[in-house]
Amino acid sequence: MQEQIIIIAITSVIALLVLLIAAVFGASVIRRGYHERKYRALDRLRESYRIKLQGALEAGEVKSREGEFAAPARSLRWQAIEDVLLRLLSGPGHHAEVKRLFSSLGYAAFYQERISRRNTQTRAMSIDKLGKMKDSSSVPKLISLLDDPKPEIVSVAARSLCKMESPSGLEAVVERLPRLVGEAKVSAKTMEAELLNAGAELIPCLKKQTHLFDNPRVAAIILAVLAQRPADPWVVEVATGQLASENPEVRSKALQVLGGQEHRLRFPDLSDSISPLLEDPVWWVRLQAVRSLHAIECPGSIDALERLLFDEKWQVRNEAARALLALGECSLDALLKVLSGPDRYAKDSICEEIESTNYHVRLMELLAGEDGALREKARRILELMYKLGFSTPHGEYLVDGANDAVKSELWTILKQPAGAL
Amino acid sequence: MMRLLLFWIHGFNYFVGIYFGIVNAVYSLLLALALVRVFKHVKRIKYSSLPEFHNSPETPPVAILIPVYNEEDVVLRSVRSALAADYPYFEVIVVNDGSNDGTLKKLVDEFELRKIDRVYRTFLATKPVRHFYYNLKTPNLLVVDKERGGKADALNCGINVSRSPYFCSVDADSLLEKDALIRIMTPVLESRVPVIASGGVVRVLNGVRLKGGHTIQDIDLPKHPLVLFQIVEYIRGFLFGRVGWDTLNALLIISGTFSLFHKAVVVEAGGFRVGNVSEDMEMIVRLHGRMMDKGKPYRIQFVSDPVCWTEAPDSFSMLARQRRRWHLGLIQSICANKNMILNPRHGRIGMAVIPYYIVFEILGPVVEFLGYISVFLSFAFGLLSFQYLMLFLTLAIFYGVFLSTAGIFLEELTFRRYPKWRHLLRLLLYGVFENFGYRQLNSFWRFQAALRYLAGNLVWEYVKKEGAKDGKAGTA
Repeated sequence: MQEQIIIIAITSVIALLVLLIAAVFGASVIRRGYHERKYRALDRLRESYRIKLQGALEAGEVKSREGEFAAPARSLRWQAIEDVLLRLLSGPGHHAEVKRLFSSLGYAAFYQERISRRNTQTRAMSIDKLGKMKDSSSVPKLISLLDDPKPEIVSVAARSLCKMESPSGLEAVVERLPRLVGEAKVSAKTMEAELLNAGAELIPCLKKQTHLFDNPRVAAIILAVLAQRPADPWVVEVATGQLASENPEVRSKALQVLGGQEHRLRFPDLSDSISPLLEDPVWWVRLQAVRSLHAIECPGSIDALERLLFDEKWQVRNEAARALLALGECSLDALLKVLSGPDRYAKDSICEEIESTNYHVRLMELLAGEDGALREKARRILELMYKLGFSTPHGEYLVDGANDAVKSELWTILKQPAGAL
Repeated sequence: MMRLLLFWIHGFNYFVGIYFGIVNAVYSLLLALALVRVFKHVKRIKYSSLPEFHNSPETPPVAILIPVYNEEDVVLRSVRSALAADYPYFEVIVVNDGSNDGTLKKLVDEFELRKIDRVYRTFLATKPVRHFYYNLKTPNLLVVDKERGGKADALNCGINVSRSPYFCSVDADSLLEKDALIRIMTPVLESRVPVIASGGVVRVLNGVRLKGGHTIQDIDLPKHPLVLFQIVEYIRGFLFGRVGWDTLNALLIISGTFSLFHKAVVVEAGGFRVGNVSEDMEMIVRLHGRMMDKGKPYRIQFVSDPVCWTEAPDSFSMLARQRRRWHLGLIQSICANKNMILNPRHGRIGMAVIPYYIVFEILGPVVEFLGYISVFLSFAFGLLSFQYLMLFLTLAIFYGVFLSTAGIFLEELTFRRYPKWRHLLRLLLYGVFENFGYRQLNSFWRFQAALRYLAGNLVWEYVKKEGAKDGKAGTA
């Protein structure tokens, strides 16, 4: 009896598993077939509506032909038209018309309704869609979602609001930054990336809420975003003010803002603000200060950069050497002074950067140049490099180089005993 | 005496039955968890911050570390695919670990590299570096030529040289998909808890057609049955094994073939352990231990959408070597961190996950192998009823068929990397057949590895790559 029960049990388990496999297999086959047909049809519809919509937009007939683009919600045509409209919105021109179409064809209302669903993924996907559609009528609803208990919803809502070109939406996000980041609803990196989507309305919005810079975590995020924006006197003013922050991350981000290329063009005296940070107690702030000075390429900072060649961190030393090399011949004296000095670490950093930036090619050119003083400096640097063990470029030039005068100079250098320093 | 023997045989047979039952229960749990998780993840990808991070200059740089040892036939392919990554800023560091074939020359010729004098700063002690190779034309590629010290040593060297806060280790016989790096980084950056390590999916490259020699053009299945078995195995292992463990926040293995680490955490932990054949797993176990000791929140995660394609061995002898190595690595990794076993300070990892790995992963092949022998012999000698044999076969084989096919279906319903109808049918077929021989063979190899470990015979076995010639070995 007991044995029979076992047999029955085993047989049923096996039968159940086989049935399950067969059922899932059947479902997969049906799904594959369905998807294949669906996506083929979708591709066709997309192409045909792309041509129609583009034509209607260019001819200014969208309003009169709107009926052509109406489709039952969630149908294939509906999906194809949505895809085409989203594509048009990310391209140039006709934005206002496309945004209006999203609203009049019922897409905005459809996704707004889905925001109230229970499933988190459905909600998040709808919020994301509304953001991509830049639907201004959804802004109040999305603002209310910034207080949602689910971090996933908050993050997507914030991102959508950032790209909707709506001052009130962006203001709501910026206003809540301390809470969003403080309560770890959204990671700082995500917030930074999301805010980068914001348009011209960001600066006026930040101007209204300068108190946000009192919170170091928020200040660091905002400054990181500002570093990627075009020049603006207010941004420079804010960043300069933040250089005195107690938080090293804020100081570093402020330096990054000031080092931005665009700023160099309009604010030539930034090196005075940056230079004090070269003495910062935190090494990566010093590193950022050097990078910013490098970006500004200010010959007046040679002395300060020279001091940093003796920094305790190799990253700072190398960056300082790189910044000096970028200044060209005017920094040769400083480099020579350090190379002739006793600090091996500083000398290594210089040599390393000369090679990795290919500056030795310039040195060889100077070696063959007319200017006697420059020729002598270049010769001396190449000689010191050789003595420090950085002689690969010398050897290479002797094999492949074109100028015999340079070769002969290099021969003279290489004849000396290596490793003398 | 005879009675005692019979008692033991019966006892062992029942033990084997219960053991398989528990293993299947755990696998079913992992499958259920993975099912929910993967479906959610697939939906989430559609609205993740991936495009934002892709376009942001503030996305942290990553160093792709490729340790190579005698890989002249595949090295260019992997380096080209790494350089083609679609990511804001990344550096590719190839560490030539004392190859004695043309690996270095191929790299130098292809990328027109030239020797460059650089200071080698050792945060982690490694074998000496001979030369650095670089070319300003490809400014994010650096080749380091060093003396042979093993894969862990090469990775440590790469860490020393890299300038990025994260590094991603990739094997020389592997191809990164263009968007794999940004896909593996996005969850790291989105996470509200610091992610210190992250693993991506590894798939079998054999059979895949390439465009330009380094990008995936057309996914197809290879003809070799042994490789097909491995494809099914990889799908199952990555899609529901890893995802399941990740859902429990108890990931102990991420594949060194494609894994991302936070550099500072790895440096602080002392880098990869030289001499361990599975340096990737050992690192993960150690990181768990160290982070739990510190009591700070952290996460080691698995992401199911970034993909790295790797070559699978296509001969029994090479596969046997690979599997023995993996098992040996598993044993070594646990032994190297034995202070974590049943240590309440190490939470669920110490109290549950590591004990599970010891009982069911390390000892599993031993019980499985001896179980097959004992059950079949007992049945042959009339010591065991037909019902028990059926029960055993159901648990050991038929349930395996279910799990294998479930893995393929999960793939089919989510990522569907094998698009053709014949792909689905062949994978299903091999999913069924892998439970009749292939799995048992695997257990045997792992059983061998366990025996060798006990015998103290820690031979480092190399696995020859498909592209390799003349039996030259590779860093697998």
